[in-house]
Amino acid sequence: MATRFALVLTAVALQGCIEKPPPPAASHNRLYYEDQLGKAASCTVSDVKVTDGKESPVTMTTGGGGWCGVSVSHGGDPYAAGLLVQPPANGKVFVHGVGDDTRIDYTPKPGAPATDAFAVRLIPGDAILRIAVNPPKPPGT
Amino acid sequence: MKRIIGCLLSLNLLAAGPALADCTIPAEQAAFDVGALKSELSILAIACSNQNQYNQFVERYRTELVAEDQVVNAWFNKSYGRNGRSHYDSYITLLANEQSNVGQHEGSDFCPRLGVLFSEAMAVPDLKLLPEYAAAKNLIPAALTSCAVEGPPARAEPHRAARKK
Repeated sequence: MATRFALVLTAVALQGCIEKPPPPAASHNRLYYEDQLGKAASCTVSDVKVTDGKESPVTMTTGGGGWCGVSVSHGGDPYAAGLLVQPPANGKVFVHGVGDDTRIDYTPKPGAPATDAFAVRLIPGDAILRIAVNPPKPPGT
Repeated sequence: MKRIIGCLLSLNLLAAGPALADCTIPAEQAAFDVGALKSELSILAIACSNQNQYNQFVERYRTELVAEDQVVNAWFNKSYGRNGRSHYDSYITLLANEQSNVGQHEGSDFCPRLGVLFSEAMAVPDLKLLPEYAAAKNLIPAALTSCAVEGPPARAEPHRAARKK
């Protein structure tokens, strides 16, 4: 009886020594306030499937000023670099790390046509995202 | 004193009217983008004590940086004639001032957030791809743009002898 009690006590004591798994982290790379500002009022992006060495089409629907972003990651981290292989005609592109993702931001020029297209090559892996930009559909259509 | 000169340059370049669109010639746009990247990295080198990384960047891309700088210089000479050099100098100064202002706005986030530019630039697999990397960073401040002409465009200067007649 005493032996069993001692074993239970030992087991209870050892429970505190077992390393508990850490709670899932939201992002192990730092997020910056500046990267959260200025998102377009309307921004939707089609599902993105990145495949090394291949081109993937992406559709972005945005309007109302500000940036609209496509987020991709490389094994849970941002890509090492992004190259603008086809610049947009009517806007600006900014490829940057945001937390654990690479975010490809498109910002239309004021007063420019609402449709556009551009392409970004991701390093490493040489995946290319071809992004078509469209304006949001008017309400009621 | 530097701040006063910077403000005067800003007024000189910005008060002359709205800037024109970005470069119509892709090679010139690429040169302005690379120049903006180099300028941003030089600011990071000073403000964030990244001189070693800056030196590595310049060492790796020396040939490309010189070539792109010549394109920018040529654009100013083409646009402003004999005043090209002074406009080029003003642009370089204003670019650095504007980028520095953006950095000050970001406060303590500036160095860690933009410091990754060094590792990203060094990760570009081919030296010839530097313009495509620079183009993806959008480093030319909105107030400045590239290939922006202010004031009247360059005209052929009449010869002094002809003017005297």
